[in-house]
Amino acid sequence: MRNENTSAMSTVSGTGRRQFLKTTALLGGVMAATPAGSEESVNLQSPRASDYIYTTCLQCNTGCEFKVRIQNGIAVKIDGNPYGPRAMVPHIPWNTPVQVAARVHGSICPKGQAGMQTTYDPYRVVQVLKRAGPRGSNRWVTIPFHQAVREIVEGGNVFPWENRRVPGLREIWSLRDPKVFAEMAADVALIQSKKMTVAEFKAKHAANLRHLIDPDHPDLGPINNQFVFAWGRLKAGRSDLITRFVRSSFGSVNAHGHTTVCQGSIYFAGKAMSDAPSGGGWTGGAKAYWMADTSNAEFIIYWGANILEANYGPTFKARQIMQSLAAGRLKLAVVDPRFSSIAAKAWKWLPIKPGTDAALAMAMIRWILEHSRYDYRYLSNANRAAAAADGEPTWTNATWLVKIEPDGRPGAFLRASEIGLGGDADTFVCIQGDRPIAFKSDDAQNPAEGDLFVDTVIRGIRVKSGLQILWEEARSKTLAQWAEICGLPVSEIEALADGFTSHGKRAVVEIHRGVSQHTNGFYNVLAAYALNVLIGNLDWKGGLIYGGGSYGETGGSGRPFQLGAHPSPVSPFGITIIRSETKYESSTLFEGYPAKRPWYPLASDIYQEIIPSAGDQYPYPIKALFLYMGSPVYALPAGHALIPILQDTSKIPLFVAIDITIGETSMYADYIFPDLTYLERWEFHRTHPSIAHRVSPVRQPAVASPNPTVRVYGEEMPVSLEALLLAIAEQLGMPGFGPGGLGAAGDLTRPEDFYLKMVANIAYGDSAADVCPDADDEEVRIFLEARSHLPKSMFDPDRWKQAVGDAWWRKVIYVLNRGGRWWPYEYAWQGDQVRSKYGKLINLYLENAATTRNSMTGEWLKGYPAYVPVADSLGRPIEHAGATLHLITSRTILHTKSRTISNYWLTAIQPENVIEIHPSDAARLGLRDNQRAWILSATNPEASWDLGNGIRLPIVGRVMTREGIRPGVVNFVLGYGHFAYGALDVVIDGQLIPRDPRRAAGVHANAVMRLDDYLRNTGLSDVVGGSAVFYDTKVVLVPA
Amino acid sequence: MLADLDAALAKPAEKRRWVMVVDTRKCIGCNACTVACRAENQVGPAGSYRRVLRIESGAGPWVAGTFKPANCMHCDNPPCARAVPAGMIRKRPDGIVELDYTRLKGQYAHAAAAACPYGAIHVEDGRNFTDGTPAVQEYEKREFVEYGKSWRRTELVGVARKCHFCLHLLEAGSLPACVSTCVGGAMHFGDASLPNSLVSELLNKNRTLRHKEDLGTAPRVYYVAEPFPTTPQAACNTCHY
Repeated sequence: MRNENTSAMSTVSGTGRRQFLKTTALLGGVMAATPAGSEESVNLQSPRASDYIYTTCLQCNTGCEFKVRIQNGIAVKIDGNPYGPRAMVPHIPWNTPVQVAARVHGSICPKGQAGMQTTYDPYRVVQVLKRAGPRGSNRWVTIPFHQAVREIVEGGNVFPWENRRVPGLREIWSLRDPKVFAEMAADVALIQSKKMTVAEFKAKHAANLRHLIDPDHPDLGPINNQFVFAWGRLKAGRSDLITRFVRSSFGSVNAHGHTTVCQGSIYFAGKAMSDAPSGGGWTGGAKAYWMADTSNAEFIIYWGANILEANYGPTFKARQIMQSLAAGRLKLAVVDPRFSSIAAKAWKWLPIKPGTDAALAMAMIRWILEHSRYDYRYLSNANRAAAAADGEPTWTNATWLVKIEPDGRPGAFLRASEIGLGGDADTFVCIQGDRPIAFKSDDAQNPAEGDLFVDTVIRGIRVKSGLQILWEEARSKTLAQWAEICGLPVSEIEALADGFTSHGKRAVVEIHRGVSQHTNGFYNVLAAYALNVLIGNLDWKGGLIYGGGSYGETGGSGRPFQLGAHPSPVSPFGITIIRSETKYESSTLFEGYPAKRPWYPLASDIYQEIIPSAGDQYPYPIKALFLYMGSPVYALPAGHALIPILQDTSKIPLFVAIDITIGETSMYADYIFPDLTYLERWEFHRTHPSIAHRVSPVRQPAVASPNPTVRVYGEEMPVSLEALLLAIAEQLGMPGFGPGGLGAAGDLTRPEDFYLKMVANIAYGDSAADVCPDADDEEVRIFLEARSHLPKSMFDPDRWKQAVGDAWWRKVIYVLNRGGRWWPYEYAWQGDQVRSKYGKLINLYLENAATTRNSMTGEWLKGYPAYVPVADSLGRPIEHAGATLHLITSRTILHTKSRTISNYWLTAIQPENVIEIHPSDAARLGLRDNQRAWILSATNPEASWDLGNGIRLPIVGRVMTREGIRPGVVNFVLGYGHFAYGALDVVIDGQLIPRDPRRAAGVHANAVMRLDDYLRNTGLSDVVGGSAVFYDTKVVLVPA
Repeated sequence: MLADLDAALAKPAEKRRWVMVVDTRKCIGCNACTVACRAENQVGPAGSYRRVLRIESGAGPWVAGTFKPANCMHCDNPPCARAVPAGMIRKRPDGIVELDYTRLKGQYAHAAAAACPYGAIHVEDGRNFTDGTPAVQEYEKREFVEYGKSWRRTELVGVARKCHFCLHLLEAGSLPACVSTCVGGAMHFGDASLPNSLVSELLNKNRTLRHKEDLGTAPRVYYVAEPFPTTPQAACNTCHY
């Protein structure tokens, strides 16, 4: 562990030809720290339990459980953790002694195996960097941590050659009084529901108007909102600290994640489908979705889901699938323009035309309804009581009557009171024959069942059932017409529908980004999920599941520590910078259609909106952007358009990145604070809907960090995200951190004060009967010895014990020795169903959507699964300037989206990616294998990434033909073609650090993905569900 | 498989008959095994103890995909041993083909590598993956155990290296790295002389192939040559009949 005054050591590489840096800024410049204790010779005997630390991977978002073998303080080998269901199927019992588990190794994918290369990346940043030139100039100086903290908190003329005052966090932290926050928030809500005027607000709050961004638009919120904190890959624990910092302490609404670049519209379709009626409206929808109970399924359609190379996650899904395939009890079909690995195991591969997923779904829905292959009994249930009578955990609104507007558009649900049947705003109507039935959705006593296909008039009101509306949409085209749209033979579609409906509830459609990352993603997702709803497979073994969830790490009833506690939290208010979860029409900015930029009432975490909105200063300008473990420039479609905005100090006056590398986005920052890699830190990875078990894997420090040690709140700790948040809070005197920072739960002066309490909550389990045993003396000995190489700033057992107290210490050790806690294997299922159920209403028809307007066209959104053609933000067809090749992307299991290029063991297997193209297209274009070609599009006719610093990178790739791709479609694998992250020369403290050209290999054609013609600085988006669109661009390939 | 391993380890070493059985139907071509092996055995850029082939065949919507991992076959009749002076390469009684790191160097190392019809042998050159970067990293310089002794790669420059069925892990009661980490569950390892072992069962119940069998090398690595019941996939013997 180095402290801040370390003198530089020069290290010479093995080639000896170049004299390298004399800076400690990068890991490569730091001499290997001699670990605590003397060097021991390699143990030639059995691996001991104390050779391992059990933790959680972060090479992708799956979060597989693994153990890492430590040798002389260095991570040398990673293996799957057999206690965890991601790494072993079935996993071993939780009470297996750790001595026994030591030699039992589970599985983990190649990225997981290479994980230490992320930690030991020679280009890793290990000192705080401040830019020494314009943004993106790749010139940096190292700067002491506390000086950097002072500069960003106090602001000032910190870039003297720019002669401007940088706003510090102290001045942005304008409003601080929780009472004023609450009063203003309440009155802003009144303004938005037209119950108070702006003038009335200004009069009432005259004393505090100076805290607002714009007193004439109080709904924009306080100046605090001009502090924006965005993140890429963030999990629980760290997310709780960030939310506490940004929202509860600092009072900004702008804490935003990256969801829309991942599955976006799947999450928000899931949220809309899981909304429940309440007070005449809809609430309670969770930003979550459903996946397959793979182990028990008999028929799975992998639809835009690359389950063996990506998704959540290959390590256990491959095992589950292969076990079932070998036993002959599983049949697979794959819908994907590209022949993915899973297609190699499938009964059928359907090479669909990109963006037409809803058309295929509609064709299948039509076939299923025409052949009566749906679960009639399930769909007839209108409420909880009816479902329970049939032994069904869930029910739908398929039978609920929807009012039809005069123009034929389905609108809101009919309420019983509208036809004289009484009830409140949440009492709906279904019909049997000619008898309307009033009911409430959640009524557990009075079952209500309705006819499925209803089109009638009641008391002068035209109504149709939810399923009738879906039926009419499916029937709006013939099977042949749907087949024409999606480019598949009718016979294949019929075979697929037949297969899908021949296995009762043990059949499932599993979707992923291939379905959602289109402009019509929201509706593609609804249509694909509708197939599952039609066969009633929700919560059943082999069907669609919501996942087993996690153990409530941050508190909840009975748990020892309530980590939401805060001595004086504020409730932030105001429209977010990405205009999420709010209606355009309710804002004081409303001025007709189209809005200046899209509003997203049904979505949040719209990654592609954060920086462009700051660029357009709409809905308001921002003052500071913090970016954690994210690289939107690299990761987003058309990410190149962010560069001019990031470089513009008038649009983003302060830009701080927390990153382990000078990456494609952090290279434009004012300051880069180094961080701990996943082998050095705490985090709580939780779960995905693909996991039927309840799981709480723990990420915990396994190796010493090369970052400098700093002192915050009197505690020694390595520079990290946590150190930065704590240090800013200390500098500002901000409540919610430091002594008493956790309110009733105690102090928050070092990260373990928070994280170990989360472990204790896991040790508690689900109830008092669940509390885990104490670790015995031998386990305590193993625990301590396994961590004996860690410095006191990262592992101090006495201080750790203090964080949870004597009563919980040995239970915390029990959990940490295993790397987490998980349900026993068999416990995930109960009879013919999963134990952890979704267990409520699923919306086939979405009233909330149907009563929301598209902020760009002013039209009402459709509230039901439908085929919606691909379109731009204004709903217009997309112009491709003559380009005809349809560009898609895919993952390889060797790389995650943006952060594995440093792993040389992975690039040894595949040094670069290629442009995959069908032989017929290559022949037509005169392209041969291994020939290089430019990739052009309508919005990037020069095929280049302009880095804004004089460097323009050509977008050129190597062509490779394959039969396994739909003619007319071209593909490249994500993760290559880097232009930072060690792929570009940088200068630190005047020293040139030459790049590693291996990292630049391949092509990253995101800059070719189409910009939206109206927004101009953003790629195509799904303006309903939020997805950042990867797959709706057409390109030209030109031989290079 | 660990139970089988324990049973095998309970026998005298010369009575064990190690074999590897690969169910290629379950292989997903991910290369977790390749990377695991590289990490476990500190294999540098000069070569690899294993690789995974990804083979696409067919046309139109009837494309087929096959994934096939390969490593040293631990031949009962190893051509590498015949290409060098006696004793530099030794077929152990348990089946592992063992290299003498103190003697199999220079021209002999290259001769062994050239003689292998499976391309399983490479000659260490001491290079690191982190050469050419700001600094060579410690994990690349670490000690590791092969053939009962500990080594660093710098000591093995010019020496031939190959898969040894992770002998050091077997003796410690763990499975070879490729077998443990296999994501699809394709890799199996055990003692074929134990009739109830998993590998014996697989060999008895399935048609299997060995690679380049016609050369008379008698490999100890077997590939299951059956298709899955529900998948009209090309099984290995579509090409290797």
